[in-house]
Amino acid sequence: MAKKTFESALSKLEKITQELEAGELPLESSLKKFDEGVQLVDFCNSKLEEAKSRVELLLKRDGSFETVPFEEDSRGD
Amino acid sequence: MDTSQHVYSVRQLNREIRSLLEGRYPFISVAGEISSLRRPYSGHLYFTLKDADAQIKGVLFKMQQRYLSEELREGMQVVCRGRISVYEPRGDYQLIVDRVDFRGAGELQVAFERLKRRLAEEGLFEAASKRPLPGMPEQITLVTSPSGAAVHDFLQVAARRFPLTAIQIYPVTVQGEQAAGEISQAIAELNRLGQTEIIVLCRGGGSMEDLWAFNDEQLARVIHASTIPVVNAVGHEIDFTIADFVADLRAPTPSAAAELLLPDIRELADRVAILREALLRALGRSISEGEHRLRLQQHRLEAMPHPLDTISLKLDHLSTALAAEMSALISQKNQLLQRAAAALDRNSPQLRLDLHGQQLQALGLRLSGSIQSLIRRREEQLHRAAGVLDAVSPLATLARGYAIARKPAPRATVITSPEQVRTGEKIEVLVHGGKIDCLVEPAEGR
Repeated sequence: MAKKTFESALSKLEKITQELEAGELPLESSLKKFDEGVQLVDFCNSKLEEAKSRVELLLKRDGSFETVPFEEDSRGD
Repeated sequence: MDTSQHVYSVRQLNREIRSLLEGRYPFISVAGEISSLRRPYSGHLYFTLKDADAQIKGVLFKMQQRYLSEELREGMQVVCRGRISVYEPRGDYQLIVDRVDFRGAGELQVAFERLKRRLAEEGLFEAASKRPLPGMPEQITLVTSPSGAAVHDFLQVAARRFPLTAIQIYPVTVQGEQAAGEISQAIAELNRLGQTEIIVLCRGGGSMEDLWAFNDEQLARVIHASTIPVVNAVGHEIDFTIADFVADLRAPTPSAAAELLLPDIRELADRVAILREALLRALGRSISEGEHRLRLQQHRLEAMPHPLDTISLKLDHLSTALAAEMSALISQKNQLLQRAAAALDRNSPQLRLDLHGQQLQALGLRLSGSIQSLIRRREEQLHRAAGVLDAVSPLATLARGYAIARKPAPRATVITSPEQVRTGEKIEVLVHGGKIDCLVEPAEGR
């Protein structure tokens, strides 16, 4: 996987939990899976905690695009 | 059913027609002009909706009139939304109106319906051409006016629900002459950039004219052609535009779009927490299950000698029994064999052969004895006969000088009279010493 996203981490975590719950793994690989699962939990939690909404304005200048942070100045509607 | 044979009651017929029409036209919009308006004592509004060629009766019940934004008047151009029903006691069909749109929307409505029908026939609204939406998009682009209430609503809900999604705003005009062109271009540009995962067309509610840009045919085609999924979040719940039908998802309002598109971060946090618990539980279970299995195997191992002993005992027992059984079987077969050999001996043909041989030998002896005595007897007979023959033989007479005249062989007739021969005939004369051939001469005395 090129980039670990929250979504992929979450679905991997769900898969690992299912595998562990099925209880068909040898104990050693259970432990390995568990470690991996705990790391994914940490990753997901950190993503959720650090998430801050990022809003940008897409501007076209001389035929190419650039983005600037979007500030809502007029919210008095 | 053969309807030509069936005789309806009027009531029955009207009821069937009513259910037919109600089933076919449960929710329609009709554009026309209000005429023959009247409000009887009941408070319901009765009128005729007409255009250049036709008219239909309509009723707006008293309960529905509180939604009217202005009074109905004669000659108004309106769009009535409602259903068709039949008033059975009179056999009239009429439009039961739920809502009335004013502002001369009649013609726009007609244009809208016409375009909608045409695009539907072309297949632009088909469910099969709808693109699926990603569950947790990393980036969403709003095509909207950056200053409107709509964008504010969307951003607020998005920030609350799922701040992981980056939101981009592509500024456009959402009303007026340029709007449709700008929105179309934005969609095309975003497809070319290919970075965003969802395009959201965003605008607050308004009149039909206000929202007209979203009924643009060109825009509809651009939305349909977009490879990035397009969500239409224009207006309020009740406002439908062509873009709603062609988009991959229709959201009733901008904030509803944010709700539909983004997962709730609190639910996700809960889910992560639940998964963490489940992981711990599952590991705990794996470990205790491992322990349990280990103990179980231990017990089984300890219990092992007993089954082995039993098996070895059983083996001994079985092999002894097998040996005994085999030797019994062998001796039994041996006896049988010997009995058969004795029987065979008893029935041997040798004895009879010997007996017959002796009989044969005795018979042979008797046979050769009788043959020899027979021969002896015959020799004696022969001997005697030869003596007799010798005594009567003419040969002795011949020896005394007698002769026998006879015709020559083969007739060999003995001649006893001269008449038996002629002159010149050859005859034989047998004498003791042999045979004389003679020729008969002529007799002198004759």
